[in-house]
Amino acid sequence: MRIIVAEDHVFFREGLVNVLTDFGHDVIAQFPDTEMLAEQVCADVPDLVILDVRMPPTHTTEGLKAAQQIRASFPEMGILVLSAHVETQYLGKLIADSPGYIGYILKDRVANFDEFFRFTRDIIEGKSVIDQTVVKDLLNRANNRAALARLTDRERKVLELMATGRSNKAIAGRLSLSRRSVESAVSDVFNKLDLPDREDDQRRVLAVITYLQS
Amino acid sequence: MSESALNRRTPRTFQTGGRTPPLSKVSSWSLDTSLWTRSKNSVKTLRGATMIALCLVGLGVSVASLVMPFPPWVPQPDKISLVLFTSCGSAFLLGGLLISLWRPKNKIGVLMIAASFAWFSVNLFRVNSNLAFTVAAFSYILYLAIIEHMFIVFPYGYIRSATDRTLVIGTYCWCLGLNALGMLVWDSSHDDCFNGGCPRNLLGIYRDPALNMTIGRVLCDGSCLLMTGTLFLVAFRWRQATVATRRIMTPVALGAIPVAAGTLIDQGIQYGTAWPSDLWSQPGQWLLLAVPASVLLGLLRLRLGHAALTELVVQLSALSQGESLEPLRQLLRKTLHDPTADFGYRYSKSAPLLNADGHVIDLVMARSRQGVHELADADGTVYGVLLYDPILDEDPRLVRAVVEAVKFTVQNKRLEAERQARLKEIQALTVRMVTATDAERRRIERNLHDGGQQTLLALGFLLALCHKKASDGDLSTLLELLNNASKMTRSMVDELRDFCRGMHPTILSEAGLEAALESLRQRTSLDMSLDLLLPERLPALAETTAYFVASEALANATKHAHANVVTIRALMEGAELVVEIKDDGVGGATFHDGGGLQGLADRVAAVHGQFQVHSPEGDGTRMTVRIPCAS
Repeated sequence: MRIIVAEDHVFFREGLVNVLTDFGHDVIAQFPDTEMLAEQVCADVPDLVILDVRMPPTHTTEGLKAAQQIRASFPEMGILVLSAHVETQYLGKLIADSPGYIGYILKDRVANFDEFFRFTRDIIEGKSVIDQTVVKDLLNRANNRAALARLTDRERKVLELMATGRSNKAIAGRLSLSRRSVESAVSDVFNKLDLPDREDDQRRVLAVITYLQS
Repeated sequence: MSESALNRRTPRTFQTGGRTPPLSKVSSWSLDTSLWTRSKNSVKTLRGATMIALCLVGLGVSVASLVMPFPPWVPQPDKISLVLFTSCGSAFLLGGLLISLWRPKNKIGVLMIAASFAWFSVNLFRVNSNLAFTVAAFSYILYLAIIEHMFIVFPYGYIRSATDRTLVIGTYCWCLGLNALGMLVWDSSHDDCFNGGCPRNLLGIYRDPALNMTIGRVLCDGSCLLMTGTLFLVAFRWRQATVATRRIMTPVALGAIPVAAGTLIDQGIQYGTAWPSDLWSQPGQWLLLAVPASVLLGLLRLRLGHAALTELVVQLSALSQGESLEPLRQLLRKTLHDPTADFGYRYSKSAPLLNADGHVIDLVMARSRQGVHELADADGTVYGVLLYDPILDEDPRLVRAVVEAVKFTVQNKRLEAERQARLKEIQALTVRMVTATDAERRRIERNLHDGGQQTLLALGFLLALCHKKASDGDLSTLLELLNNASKMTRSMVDELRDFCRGMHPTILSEAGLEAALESLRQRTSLDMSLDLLLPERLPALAETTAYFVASEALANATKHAHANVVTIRALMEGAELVVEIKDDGVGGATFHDGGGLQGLADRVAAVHGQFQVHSPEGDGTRMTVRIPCAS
């Protein structure tokens, strides 16, 4: 996999590059900020761009802006946004401005190599990946608490996993349920939350996240 | 007497104390308070007794004037004339007493009483005694001189110029001197007595009826001339007078006309008689009633200001909070009936005194022309000045009362403005402090986030990688990764230590300001010298503030000023810690919101300290901080 990394913290960046290289990926460029990022992406199109949310000069949402910019020119490109914080606002921005694949995980996930590389694979395959912690946080502070309260425990877990971008199959595996049970739980969730059912996993993530954020 | 003389000589300027004027100043003008000294009290008692005695004597004299029998040597006047004569004398006495009561310092009251007795002295002609007869013949003309004296000195009551003095003395000399001269050549027992047999004129040393007659004519002519002259003098004075003075003078100026007319009539009748025998039925005498009436009315008009004072206090309290002095000035002019009245105000300590038109008030010049009353702070700084027609000093209580009322209002408004300004300052300071605290929290958050957290995250997956390498058996890579990991750990420890020192150096709380500054010196890359003369420990807040300022100044010198040499001086001045930081950098440091300098200034202001920066472009920066250390 050909990867570009943008991360301002030198230890983290070097460590990440180390890990990626060690797992046989090709880090074609690395940046401490987003200044040259877009140019580099255009010049030598990678499979995946990994970038931090907070980067110089203002240390606010430079990474998100760069991600949206790249997404606008390359709708199909895999983009993984790393965040040091559980911040659902960023996720909202990411969705609102450029509906498409979403890759948004906490930096802690990198240390779990299996999980991390599964995420990167999913993203390249065109799936959305959203950090579980972020989703949990979203569920906890959702405005539609009343509607969510009507969900059973199982439906709630299914919703959570849907929001992280898992397919029905993955959810079934994760919750040790049959495909059919998962499918019925999914349709129950959509009914209870009054959402149009979506076949497509990708659209489903967006719908669920948008719902939780509304 | 001495008191009035003193009052006259003191310049019309008296400073009023600040918020709490000394007690003596209050009592010195409020005559009705019992706070005055014993001598003052005895003066008052004496005055009261004199008044009562004069009243009684006056009553006796008036009654005597009505009921005393008329001897054969004077013609019996008709009843109406006698009543009119007595009323005229009584009116003078009453007017004089009233003026003395209201305005004890004004000598017009005394003059009027004197005129009354001079008037009544005519009655001595009715006494069968040579001495009484002589006194009456000498003093019957005196009332004219006294009336003229009164007109000349009105409304002040005292002689104010050499011309006035000459006029007054001349009048007395003319009337009394000429009359005495006539008496020298008059033998009353032989000449022209009404029915003969009158007492003897004790002054008569030589009998010359023709000369006596001539002198009598000259005296009559002169008296008429003098009275007419006085009329013109009063008219002239009136024309020259300020509006406020005219207010008082108008009744007197008008009153002088009938008085002059009355004199002309009476003197014309006496003209050519050897001695004025028919003094009780002079047809012009009722016109002289205009004297006490007009004088009383004039002085009363000044007194009426007190009524307006109540109105002033009410209006002052309703005066809007606006900056304009115009309403206040208008109010003063109305109350004092003085269109020249003005009010000057100093908007700040170094600013000039300005009036409502924005004109600068020159106190020296004002004092030469106007009554000036300064309003001063407790520390003697004059913040306001009241200018008015000096005639108003004739009623010092009115002026004082107006001043006190104005002072009260102005001070109230000043305090209010000061309070508002201070409040605004504190509000702004609070906002800046909160903002600064917020920025500081963000800085700490970012520091922890960018430093510690990221390194720990990196360390996390580095260790995960180590784990993988260990299980793969790739020892050489593992060793390299472990080396990296310990390097990261060390770096993070250093980072955290620096960070904590930035927050609050341990050495400051443990060993004090001097040690902390020394530690600052050891760590800086600049050539820094310390000149410290400090007690071992100071209050913690003072130490922290001083250290914070020094380290920020040092950071500025390094980062922005590109300085090479920095000097820090610190010493105690009384209960104040003074720290001066000087560098040889580019200078030009300025205050702006959210800037480092503003932050320092706020921090120093928060501990009631002073912060000064001198930073000319291209010539280094000098910061001076004064921090109160009284515990």
